[in-house]
Amino acid sequence: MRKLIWVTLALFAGAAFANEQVVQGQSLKVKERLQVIELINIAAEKEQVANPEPLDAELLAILEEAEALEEGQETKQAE
Amino acid sequence: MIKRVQQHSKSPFARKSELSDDKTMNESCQRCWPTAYFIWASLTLLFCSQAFAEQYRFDRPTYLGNAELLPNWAETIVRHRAQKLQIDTCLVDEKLCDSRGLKSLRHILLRAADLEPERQFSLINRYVNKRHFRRDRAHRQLSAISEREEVFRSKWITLLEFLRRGGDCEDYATAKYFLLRELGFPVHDLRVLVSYDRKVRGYHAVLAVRQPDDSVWFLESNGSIIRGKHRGYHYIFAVNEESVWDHDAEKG
Repeated sequence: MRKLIWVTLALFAGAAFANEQVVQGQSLKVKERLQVIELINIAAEKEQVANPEPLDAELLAILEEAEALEEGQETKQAE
Repeated sequence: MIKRVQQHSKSPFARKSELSDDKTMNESCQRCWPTAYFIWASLTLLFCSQAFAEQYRFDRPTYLGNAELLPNWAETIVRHRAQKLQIDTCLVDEKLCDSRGLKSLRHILLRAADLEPERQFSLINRYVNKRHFRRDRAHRQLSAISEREEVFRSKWITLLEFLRRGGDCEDYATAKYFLLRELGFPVHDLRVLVSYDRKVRGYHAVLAVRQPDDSVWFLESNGSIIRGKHRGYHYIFAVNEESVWDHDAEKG
């Protein structure tokens, strides 16, 4: 029983402090922080999910019409 | 009295057999403990991972200051405001749209205007995500913050620039931001949020939209809309056309 309590405590403590350990940086002044932010390389390319948000027929039709307009075709527009 | 007699009358063989039964039970219990421990630990871990999933809160990050503090982002907003005239003119009359991209944008904005917010998110998310992914090229530029030449690897672009040539994740998020602003969503409910994605091990941007119940939805560039908690993201900073917020400062 004592073992069980210790393991529970260890697990909770580990989970609670896991994130803190990742980011234990110094407190930077605003300018220094902005310099860091400015140079971050935001470039992660995420794979498309297998099942994207399902769209109903109306939304799909709107997207198709928009695509057709972009390709230079005339569409019936219900505006 | 009869019971006592019966207890005493048990044969030594029967007593031995009872003892051996107890022993077997003890052994089997000892064997099942590791399994029980394993199941219990897994359930606890599962609970912990749910409980500590990072919930994005609009009121939590440290306010760094005005959007002008990030010159590249501020310039993008200025460019977008200049280009907004083209969008507004095109919205008035289709004949005044000077490109096919603008025509399609007009169509989306006019048709989305009558939809309820959830369907607007779905439509905008899909419309933007269909665009071409194009990674930014690293470029040297004089930094207005450090006042020396730096290598920039990300470049913020406007909605029209994105519609013309595509972009990478921050451009998808920015395009969604400007589109939802066009649809009338208030500036204080929208943020382009930059996080470190532990799964892909890189910095990633999404559009965070605050809902009326204070939950936050993420319009992702991978086709999904995440409602509420998001595991796997470590939030870094957020911007909208008014402000910059820092997420790391609160932990520093």
